[in-house]
Amino acid sequence: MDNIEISGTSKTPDVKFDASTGMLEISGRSIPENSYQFYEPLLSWLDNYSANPQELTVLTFKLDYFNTSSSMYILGILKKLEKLFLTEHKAEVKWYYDADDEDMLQTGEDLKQIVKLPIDMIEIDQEEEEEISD
Amino acid sequence: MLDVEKYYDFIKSENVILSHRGSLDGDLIDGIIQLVDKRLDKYKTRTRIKKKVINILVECLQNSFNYTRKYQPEKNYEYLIESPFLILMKEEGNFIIFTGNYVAFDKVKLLKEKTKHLCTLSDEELRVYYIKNLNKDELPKEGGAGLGLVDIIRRSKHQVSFDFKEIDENYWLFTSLIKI
Repeated sequence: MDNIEISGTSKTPDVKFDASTGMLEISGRSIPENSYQFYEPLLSWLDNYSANPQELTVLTFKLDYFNTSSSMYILGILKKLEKLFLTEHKAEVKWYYDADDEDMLQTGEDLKQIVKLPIDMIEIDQEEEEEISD
Repeated sequence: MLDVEKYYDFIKSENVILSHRGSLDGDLIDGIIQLVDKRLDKYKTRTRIKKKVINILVECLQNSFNYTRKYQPEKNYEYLIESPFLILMKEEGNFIIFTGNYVAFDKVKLLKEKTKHLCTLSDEELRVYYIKNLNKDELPKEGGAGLGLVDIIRRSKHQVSFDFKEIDENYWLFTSLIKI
């Protein structure tokens, strides 16, 4: 099946879904007015992927900003992965948040309460990040 | 002769970072957010605060957009879509967001009840409300998730005041004053 590779914009995130490795990543900003248009193809892709998944699927979120309408779809994506996980497939989620960003941590914790999935909360040290990007 | 100093002094004294009045669309909201992003960098705003301000602004503007575009009453529609406004300013070390829009008469009662109820909830109750309403089987095909207001209250740590003022027989003005 085809992979998904979408470059981020000022309101939609970078998406890299690789069916051959099971590595899925969403990063950047997710603040579109119409989240359905953006996320519906990702949900459909996950349905297809779930028919023949890799031994391990790793879903990574590295979001800077997201709106509440995106959060429903982020949960939708997690629920697709939860289905895989509950049918004896290995799946894990990495939820990155800036050390300073309590809201992003809170959202990760909220999502963790809803889905039965191993979700790792990973703190990003901003100074370290800035040094790397320099 | 225009009194330049008067207007310049006004802008300085009110510490206005950005203001907007008029109809909203996706591109305009995007432009406002990008501008605020740059302006907050100039103020050397901490990342945590910058993210709060931008996230809250997005919810406010998209709420205004949804209310003024999605719910189209029959009477004086133009009047409604031109009603959104936004002021972002810095005051004594805090950011203040004052925003609002007209709401059609038949939508006001529900919105009043919702804001009143949300403002009575504790952090834990807001968290439960958010999770319950986020976790729905049906995903909306348009508009928001209906969670904008609760998100604003949570992110601002309850430093928000919602207000309603009757304009005429068709509309009420709904405003949010938020301190970050």
